[in-house]
Amino acid sequence: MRTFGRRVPVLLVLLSIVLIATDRWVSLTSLRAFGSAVFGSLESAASSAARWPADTGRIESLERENARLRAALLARNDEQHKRDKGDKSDKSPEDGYRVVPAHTIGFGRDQTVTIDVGSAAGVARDMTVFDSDGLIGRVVQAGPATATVQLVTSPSASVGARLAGSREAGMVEGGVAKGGPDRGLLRLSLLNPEASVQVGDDVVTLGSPNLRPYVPGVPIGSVVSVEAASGGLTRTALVRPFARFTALDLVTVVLGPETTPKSSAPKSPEPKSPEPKDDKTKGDKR
Amino acid sequence: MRAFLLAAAFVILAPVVQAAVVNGLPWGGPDLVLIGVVALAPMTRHGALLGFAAGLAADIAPPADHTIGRHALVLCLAGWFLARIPSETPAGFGLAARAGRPRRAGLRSAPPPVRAAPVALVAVLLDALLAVLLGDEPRDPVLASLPGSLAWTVLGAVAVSAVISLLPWRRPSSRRRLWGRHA
Repeated sequence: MRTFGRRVPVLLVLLSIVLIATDRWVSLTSLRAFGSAVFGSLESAASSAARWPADTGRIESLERENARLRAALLARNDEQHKRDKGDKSDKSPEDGYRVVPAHTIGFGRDQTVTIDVGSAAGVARDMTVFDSDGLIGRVVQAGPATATVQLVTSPSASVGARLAGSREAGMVEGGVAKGGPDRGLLRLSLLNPEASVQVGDDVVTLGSPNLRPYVPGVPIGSVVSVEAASGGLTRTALVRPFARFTALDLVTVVLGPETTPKSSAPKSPEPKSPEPKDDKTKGDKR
Repeated sequence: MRAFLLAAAFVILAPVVQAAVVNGLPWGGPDLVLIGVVALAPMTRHGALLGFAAGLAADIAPPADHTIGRHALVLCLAGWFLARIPSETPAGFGLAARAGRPRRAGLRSAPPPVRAAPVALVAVLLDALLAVLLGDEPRDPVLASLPGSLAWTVLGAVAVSAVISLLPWRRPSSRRRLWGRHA
């Protein structure tokens, strides 16, 4: 016991270093899942308790909002689909998406938030998260009962994007200016250096193959200032995101394409199986 | 036993309060886990264990997305350092006290709030350094957020240590013995 004061701390320091090394090479997902189960549940409970007074009578309005959101997303995709019929990057927009609603229950110090749905609800890594204002981010970890979402404002986030009007494609990155008036803005880099971009132009997601990590057509933000073209390879502009990241509450996670038009899938608890094939084959599967 | 329960409650609840309340505040906030370790470690000989447990909890509590073990390492060192400096060393306190004596004679005799400040400062800096080295976060955002987190956390650590050292926990005669025995 006398040597406790020295031996145990040294062991613990070594153990920490081993943990760091292990997590660098092979991600310690089981430990994170444990953290999600223990601390995530507590965060969830704390959040529910804090919401409880406001929640009575609010479910109905939330449901209505949710339905409206889905309809809005559907309509937007429809519209987009009509505009670029030849564009094969867009997946089954006419089908809509399977979505699951979630509450934001915890905030991280490094531009991440916790939401109160996890793999039990079908949430997995690299799924799009948005709310009624616009894009929030993507799921970076899914625990059993909670998931961690990386915000688009994170310095390590980059989202394929396009201008809603001119369809010019580019990339939106977070972590532009950390302090001052530009705080929380995103930087849009358009691939075409001659692209015309004006203040007020809306920016939407470009969409990824297989809907991961981002579905197409989710509004990201609007251009607030255009950086002078300096003969570079890209044209850049600052974008103010539509979502208010300091007041996040109800968000929507896109689980995947709607498998059958009639079944509203969010309540089906089985985890989503990745569909490597094009969506045209899905009719045959059923 | 009381100290153990206090420590266990702290380890479990601090990351939850941090994520659910403090980090959601628009004007930033202190690192509760670090402050708690800095404030509680002087009460126990097992500060390294307390720091490790609290740090690991902060590492795995969602929405943490950094390398697991980073906070555990930093807080383990901080807790170890503070626990090794008993406020007034009784005779035969243990190897830890004697080992800590020669180098930190000045810090050792200082009251807890004064000792808490440099430890909290170094812990925040070390954590930021590790965050950059391990590739958890790019350098510029870390540097930009450093003044704010330093101010919150160092001031918070001083304040909480001051409150804890002023509270009438035990009669002075029995205090050291009890806190030394339990973790």
